Amino acid sequence: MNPLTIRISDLTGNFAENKDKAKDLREQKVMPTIAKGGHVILDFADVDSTTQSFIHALISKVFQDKREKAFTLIEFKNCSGPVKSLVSTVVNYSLA
Amino acid sequence: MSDLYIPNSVALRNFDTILKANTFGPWPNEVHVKFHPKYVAMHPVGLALLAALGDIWRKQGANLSGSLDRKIRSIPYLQRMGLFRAMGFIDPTELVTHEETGRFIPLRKIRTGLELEEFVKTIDPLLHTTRENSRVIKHVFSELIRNVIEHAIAGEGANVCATYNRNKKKISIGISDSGRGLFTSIAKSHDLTDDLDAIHKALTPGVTGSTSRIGGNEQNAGAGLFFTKCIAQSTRNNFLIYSGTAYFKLKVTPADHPIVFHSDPTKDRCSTKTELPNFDGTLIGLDINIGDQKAFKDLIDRIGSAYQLGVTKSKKDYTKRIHFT
Repeated sequence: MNPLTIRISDLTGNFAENKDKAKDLREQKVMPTIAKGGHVILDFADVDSTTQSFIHALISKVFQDKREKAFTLIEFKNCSGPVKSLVSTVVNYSLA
Repeated sequence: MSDLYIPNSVALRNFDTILKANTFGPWPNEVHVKFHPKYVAMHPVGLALLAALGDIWRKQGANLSGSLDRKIRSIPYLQRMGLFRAMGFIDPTELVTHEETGRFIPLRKIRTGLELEEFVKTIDPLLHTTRENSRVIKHVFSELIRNVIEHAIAGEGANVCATYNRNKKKISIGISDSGRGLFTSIAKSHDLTDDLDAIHKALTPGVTGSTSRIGGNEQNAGAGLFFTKCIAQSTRNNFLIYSGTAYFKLKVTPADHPIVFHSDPTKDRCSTKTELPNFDGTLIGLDINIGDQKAFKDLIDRIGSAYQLGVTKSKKDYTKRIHFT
């Protein structure tokens, strides 16, 4: 099964903050793909920054449900420094 | 005799001045507003508070009258910030309208997530700043306004405004709503004693009105206010939150004191007050400096670690296992 690549900036522009869109992505793309045994690439190219709330709504449930197996299910591509930092923050508290 | 008296200065440092002069209701059907006769200096936190009172009066259907000396030198500023219209008055003077760019964001209402998304896109041109410099501003606006949209049940939406002092590289922000207040919002999922307890819970990492589970649910982590307070603290500025009959005010951390993020807000360098005039809604005011944005990533790392420790008591760092490419 080919990985599903989601280009975040196509939905959010250069600042990803709309939690409703993050929720829709999680429920309609990320979780169904993983449930079918697939792999998701979240591509943050052209996203300058984001919010903790956006990243939480996008991935926290995946890491809470799948625990450390989620590391093999989601790839984070082209992240800026702030985006990396927020992804790490959300992953760390979701797995703790 | 006035029903609302607006003193000559409303700022974060002297916020008590407007509280001492007023009761904030119960409002009569004929509300009379009196401005200080000589000068009115107002931080966005004051503008946002008065805009929320305007919302309350509109909901009540109150008739407004006012006393304002038109010689007051700050009238153009107050008018340009949209204060009079937000309260329900017509503008007192005719102004030559200057471009807003680079100086301020006048009072505006934001009611939906899409309106917030559009607003965030306007911040760079409005403040004449770069995407790198505005990351922290956008983060703060987004988290605070989204709180109103998701939790306040405020039909009038969020009142938002800001000023930018280019010399000090300081942005001052005020955000308010006339919704159900923090007590009612947090009490849905947590036991509370009073309004101050509600504010403390709202500032505690992992606490959200959406669930009783510490750490939140799939949609809310209970982190937005904690992050925002820490951002103000990290730039050694004030942060104020006022709801119901209580407020919490983070004091400025002196330059020779280390910045320590406390998951327990009662351990912060702060002042709290209770038995204040009852404000039916929530008000937040803060200042942040945006001169050192290279530190934003490090700041998020530090706040994130403090959040994680506060919620889970764990310091485990999985960063190296995350598949970044």
